[in-house]
Amino acid sequence: MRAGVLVSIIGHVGAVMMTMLAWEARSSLPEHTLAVVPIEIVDVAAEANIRALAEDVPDEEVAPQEEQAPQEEEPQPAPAPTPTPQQQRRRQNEEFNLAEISGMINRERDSGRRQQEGQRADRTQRGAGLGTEERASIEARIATLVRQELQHCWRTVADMRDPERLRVTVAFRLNRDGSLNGQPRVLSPANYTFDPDMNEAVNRAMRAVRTCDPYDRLPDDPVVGDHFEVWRDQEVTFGLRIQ
Amino acid sequence: MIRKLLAAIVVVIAAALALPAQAQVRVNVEEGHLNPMPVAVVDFLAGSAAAQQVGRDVSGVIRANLERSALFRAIPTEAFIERIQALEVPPRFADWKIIDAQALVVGEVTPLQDGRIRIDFRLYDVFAEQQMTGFTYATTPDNWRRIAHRISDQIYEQLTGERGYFDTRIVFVSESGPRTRRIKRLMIMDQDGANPFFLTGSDAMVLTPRFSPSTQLITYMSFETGAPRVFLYNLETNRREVLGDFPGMTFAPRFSPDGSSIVLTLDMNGNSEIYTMDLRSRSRRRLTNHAAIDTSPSYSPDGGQIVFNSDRGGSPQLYVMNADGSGQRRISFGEGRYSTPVWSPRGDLIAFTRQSGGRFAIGVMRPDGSGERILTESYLDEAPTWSPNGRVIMFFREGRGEGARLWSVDLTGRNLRQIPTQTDASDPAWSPLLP
Repeated sequence: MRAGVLVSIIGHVGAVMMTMLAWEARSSLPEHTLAVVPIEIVDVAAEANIRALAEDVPDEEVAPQEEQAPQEEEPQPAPAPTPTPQQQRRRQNEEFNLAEISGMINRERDSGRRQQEGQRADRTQRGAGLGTEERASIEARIATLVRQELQHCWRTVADMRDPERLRVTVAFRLNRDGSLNGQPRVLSPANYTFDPDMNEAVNRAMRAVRTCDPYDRLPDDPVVGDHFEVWRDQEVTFGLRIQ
Repeated sequence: MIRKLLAAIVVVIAAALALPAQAQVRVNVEEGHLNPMPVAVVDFLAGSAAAQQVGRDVSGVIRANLERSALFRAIPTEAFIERIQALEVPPRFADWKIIDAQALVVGEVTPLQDGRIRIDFRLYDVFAEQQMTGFTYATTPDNWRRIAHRISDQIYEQLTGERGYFDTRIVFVSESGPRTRRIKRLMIMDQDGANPFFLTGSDAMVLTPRFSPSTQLITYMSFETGAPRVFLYNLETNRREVLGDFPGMTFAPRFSPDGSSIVLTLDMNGNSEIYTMDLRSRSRRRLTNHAAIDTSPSYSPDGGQIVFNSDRGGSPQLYVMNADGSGQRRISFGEGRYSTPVWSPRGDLIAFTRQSGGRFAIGVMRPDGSGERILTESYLDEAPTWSPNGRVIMFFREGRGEGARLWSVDLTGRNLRQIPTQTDASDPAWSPLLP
């Protein structure tokens, strides 16, 4: 009994001392003045935007164009800015292996696609003479395919303030292989520059269209794959379901 | 006349025939995702070994900030294909698309002749293949964390369209010592828990610190002079002063949106009423006049209204009134007792503590009382404070027999995180973005 009391007393004293020690350690944080240390800030967005600057300079060394579908039908996007020859050579040396492997993969994929496209071109141009009903059913399937793709790429506006208001319609054109032809453009809203929420909604819509590129499921689809004329131009409205 | 009519008909027919050729498939996308956006933050480049460490640290803080917001996912650096070697050379966007990076952050740390450091950064939209923004910062080397927070805010703003909240501080009550002799001191730290400092000594208990939404001023309640009094603390000058000479106890202070006045509770003879006090003239005006307890006032961000807590209906509930005290109306009608209302800096929501069924919850409702949502609930969750962009709420949580700790939750209620503090901590107050 007495031994138990002794152990208990020692234990309690120990615990109190430990607490005091810990408390002391915690209280030893320094007291400081807390004036905010200034930071000099320079906005270099315009000067540092090498890509935008490069677009103003005529390219002397434009890489030869690869074989493409007819130009009239699918105008190519503006060529990417070319680095200076020295930069280009340096980067080519650095990334020799990766670029070569990536090029091989692309060539293989392109040749496969061209073969498919050739086969399609040989077939009858079915899209040209579609009946109303057939066209409607093809359009419905295309809409489903595009919607299914974009649902995975669109960051919804559900987390934003007053989200029902934020409806954005964008138009974009596709190439025969399902890749994006040029940049998507905003059809509505007409003016959103000074509306930060709408601006963000437009950004999310544009980002979705670019992220989903290429739209492989369209050319690969057994039903609508041949109807390029029908799925070439897309008009997509992003927005929450209006109750 | 007939010719013109025929021409018009021909034009209409031609237009009708031409339509199918230009027809577009119209698609409505109504469902999307709210997954975190994958972002690649490269370790900032640097010439010297010391600068390299700063570069790694800055990138680490940016990644941690973005991850903590739950709006972004920092892609592990091991997954990067391209090794960025110069800030002036545009990145190979294809390499970043492969790893699904929506945005790319690159930067460089350069020591300057005068002993300061310069940090440059660029943010790229990978899929649009263009630079979104770029900034250069110069400051003292020990201030690198603030630059990391400023860069995080830039990234957040560019990618979400909303103001960031990373370059901010939290003032809170640091608790230590045994329960019977609890020491409560004011402490301040960065929003991520770094750089903690004590603001007051251990001789007097402090409660309910509040940040001015527009200046580096703090108001809080202290027992320094014996009776509870509201104090002002200027972080720029490190000076503090008692606010006004009131006959009774003063508590629950909070700044007006422009920081020019304070709304607080004054208790005289057991009756609590809400007053405003102009900080320049120190003149005060009573806003409520009721036998019940009226307390915890908080301004709407436009300064036109005040939400407060009153038990005039039998139990503590939330009420809203105009800034001059007129038009008082009850807005909370749910089960339980409502307290500590705080108006969001965005103005669209009011955060509150609700006590019901022996548990405490942090929730939000619209200013008219509709759309009540509980974000988090536990044995004791209390004292919400908003991030300056109105997206995140910080509060303190206490377990049964455990000390209080700071936690944050976003408006979805899914992103619940503990904020690291060196001591037990309660009553947090979020600063505005630092100047």
